[in-house]
Amino acid sequence: MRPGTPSPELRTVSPWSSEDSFNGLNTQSATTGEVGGQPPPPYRARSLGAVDTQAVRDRPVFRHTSDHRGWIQSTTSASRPQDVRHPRTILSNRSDPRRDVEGQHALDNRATEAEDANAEDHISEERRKQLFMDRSVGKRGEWDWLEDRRDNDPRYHPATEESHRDMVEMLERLDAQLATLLSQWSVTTTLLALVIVAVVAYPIIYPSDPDTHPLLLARQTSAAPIRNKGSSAAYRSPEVPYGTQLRSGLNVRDVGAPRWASGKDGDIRDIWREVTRGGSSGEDGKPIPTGLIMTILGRDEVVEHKVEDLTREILVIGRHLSEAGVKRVALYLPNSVEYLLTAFACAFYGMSPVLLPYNQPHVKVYELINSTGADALICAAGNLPLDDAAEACKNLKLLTWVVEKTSRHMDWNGVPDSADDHLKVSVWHDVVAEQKGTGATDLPTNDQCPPLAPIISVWQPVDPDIQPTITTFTHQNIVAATAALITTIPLRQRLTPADLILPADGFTHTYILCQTFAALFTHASLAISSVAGPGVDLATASRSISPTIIIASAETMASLHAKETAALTSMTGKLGKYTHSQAMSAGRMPTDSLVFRLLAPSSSSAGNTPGKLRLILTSERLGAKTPFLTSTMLSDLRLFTRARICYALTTAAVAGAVAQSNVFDYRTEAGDGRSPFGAPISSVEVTLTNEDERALEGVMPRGQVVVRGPGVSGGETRLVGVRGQMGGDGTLRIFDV
Amino acid sequence: MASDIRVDTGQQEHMDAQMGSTNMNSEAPLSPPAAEVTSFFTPINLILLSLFAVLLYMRIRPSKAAATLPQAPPATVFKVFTPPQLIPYSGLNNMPVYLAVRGHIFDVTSGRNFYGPGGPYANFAGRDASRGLACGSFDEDMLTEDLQGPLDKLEDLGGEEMEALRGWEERFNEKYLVVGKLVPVGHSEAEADEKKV
Repeated sequence: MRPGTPSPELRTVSPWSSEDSFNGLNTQSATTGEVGGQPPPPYRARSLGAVDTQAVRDRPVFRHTSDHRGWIQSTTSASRPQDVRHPRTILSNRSDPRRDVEGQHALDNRATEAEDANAEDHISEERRKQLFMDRSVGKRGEWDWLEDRRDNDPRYHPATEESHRDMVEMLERLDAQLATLLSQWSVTTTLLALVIVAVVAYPIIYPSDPDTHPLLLARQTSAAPIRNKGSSAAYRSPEVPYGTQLRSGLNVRDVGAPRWASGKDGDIRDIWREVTRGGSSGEDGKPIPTGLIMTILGRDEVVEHKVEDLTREILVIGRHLSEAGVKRVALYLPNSVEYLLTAFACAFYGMSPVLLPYNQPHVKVYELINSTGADALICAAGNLPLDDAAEACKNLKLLTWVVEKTSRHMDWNGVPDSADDHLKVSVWHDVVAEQKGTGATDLPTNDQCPPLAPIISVWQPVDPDIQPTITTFTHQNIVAATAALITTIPLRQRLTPADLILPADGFTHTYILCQTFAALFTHASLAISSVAGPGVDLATASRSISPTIIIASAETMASLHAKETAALTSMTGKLGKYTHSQAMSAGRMPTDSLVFRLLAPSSSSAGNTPGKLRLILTSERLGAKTPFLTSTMLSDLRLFTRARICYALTTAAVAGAVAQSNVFDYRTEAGDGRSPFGAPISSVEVTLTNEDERALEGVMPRGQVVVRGPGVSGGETRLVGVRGQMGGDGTLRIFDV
Repeated sequence: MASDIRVDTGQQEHMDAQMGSTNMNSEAPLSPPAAEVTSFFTPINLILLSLFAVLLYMRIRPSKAAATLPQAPPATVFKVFTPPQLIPYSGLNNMPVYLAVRGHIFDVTSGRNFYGPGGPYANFAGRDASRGLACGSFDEDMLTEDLQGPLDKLEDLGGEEMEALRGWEERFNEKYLVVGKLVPVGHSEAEADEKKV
């Protein structure tokens, strides 16, 4: 039944049922009827002072209905819902205990009146009794339809509707349960709530970004859009995309040339010239930083060399060698400053240095000297027996001993009789000492120098019985590789004059040699240690210094990994490693918070100040049968050493490296193969060839690896014994065949 | 009113009723251990504990797979074309648009508005455009009619026209990719026609 319509079965009493006009007053009596349609009489403002309460009480009360009846005199006469009394209670004359007529505020006239009217309801006593009797027998009165409508109207009794009642009950139950739940709030609850807020708020207040954008690691090489049949597209570093020239040199400008002039490629001589420029003021007036060159002797001693002294030694030794008329100078030295000085001296005086692998059996060394056609040998004193050497190497014209300080009291000038006519023996420090005051210290310019001679490198596998590969590199190969290795590392992590670089592997390997040249060219400090070699222990190599960058061999890193993994036994250590791995897989280097400094595995392996070591450059020598590093090993090594690690792929015929992994790439892959090598460096480009065309379609071609570029000896070479595949993220992966 | 929380025997109750006061202190030594245990594992504490465990797990769990870029289109294979093999590459039937300038075939699909079907230079698509570019004309008679015959040698063109052709070739080299080489039919390098199924 709609509210506003009377019940059809009851007698309808409405203004419209009478013949009177709408606007006219109805014939219903004022006590029980409806006035119909008209607004209530205006409310007269009460007078100040005495109030005629009886007149006020007698005033009729109107209420507005939303149906056609409009304003009607309120029969239940309640202006507030809480004053609505159920019609059954109207019949009693019992006074409402809520009512306090005398004490009500004068402004509350209407309410008071309503309550009064409610109590009396303008019904006479007899009528009231009659109604009561009728109701007790169940007879419905003339106004019961109104009461029914009021009962059914949800606006008056919203809580009595069935569905509403359920919902209200449910809400009240829920409310009660919530109240009991929250009433058990205690100190622990407060603590828990604080902890939860902290867990939620901490990553918002201290957000940690990955070191590099993950999408930069998702595509690390740029592929050429065109390829030949039978080979894949050429893959290059993003620094030198398709259509640009590969990096071919150091971009060396002459001293007086303007800043915008494009530089020349340069050669090894320009590297030492750049070293000598350290300390002077540059073109824009800013002083060029000086890089220190120091040698680590023994356990404690660190000897620093002055650049002028070294320049003088270069000139002296170069003159000494060229006066002896030698063309190829074999170097059989451990890592030492003399090694580098000989390489520079050969560059300035037009001779070829032959880089021999150290710590080989003597017979092997003689073989190599003969097969490379070396006519001079610079050797550490006592490393080779003089008689045997003179006997085996008939081509030698000059043999220079490099004597360490402790043995200088001995006489090394002796020559065996059999070789007296053609072999001259000299001692390095004597040669340098006798020409100390006389030699000039200015480096000759390029026109004064004889033409450049190539550098010969001997690539010896770990097993001395295997035949080595002898490669001839031009100066352009070396210099292109040096420049590419400088720029491969992004600017944030690049070699700076504030770095101290420790080559912990022999200079024979062109990767180490080119990185050392890169260190010299960028005016970084260089620490040379004679114990450096493949497989050296990092702690031994970096005994009295704290290097920021270490260039190590894969054997060193593999043995370091094995040692540290064996030492990691405690649960807290493992937990610390797990948490750090999580940080690394999110792209961040793990930081040394206080908690983890206590818990984490000790990084005592390298550097005397843990945490200062920031970068380790390690290389895989293809064909040398060295142990390779898997992706998980590299990830663990990053955690053990707290340093970023770059893994480079090197081979005999390529100066420097073929490819080097991204310094910010901390992603781990499962598997026992070599870790992915990242993008090719900017001096080479990599192509994969395969007879099967289907292996080359798509974006992950696989096949034999062909390397081309200014960094490759002979322009082009093919990696033997391995197959390569380009990963989906642009990293080069190498598999043994 | 306070009697509903009592756990004592009736005697205690009786005594207290006699004393006429509620004695809460007598209950205290009996319940503290139970009260502390229960007060930790209240429902609200359990809810907060589980919420904390869930949040901690979400923080510590291994992260999802790394971001990947969509794959770049694979590289085009450098092919040797003869004029009949080049004809289909005119932009119709979803084929790329190629044109040949002095033996180099350029992929001009990015300039489809010009060289594709309906464009002003559509005559050049799939054809040798050298003469047309040299003379600056897009007429039909600039194109070689006989596809089976030898290529247009451009011998009768003067210096100006060759200069213009060189300019066009430079622009093409800068803008478009060289994807092939044009050889006459019967040339040693010509590849066999692909068998159409």
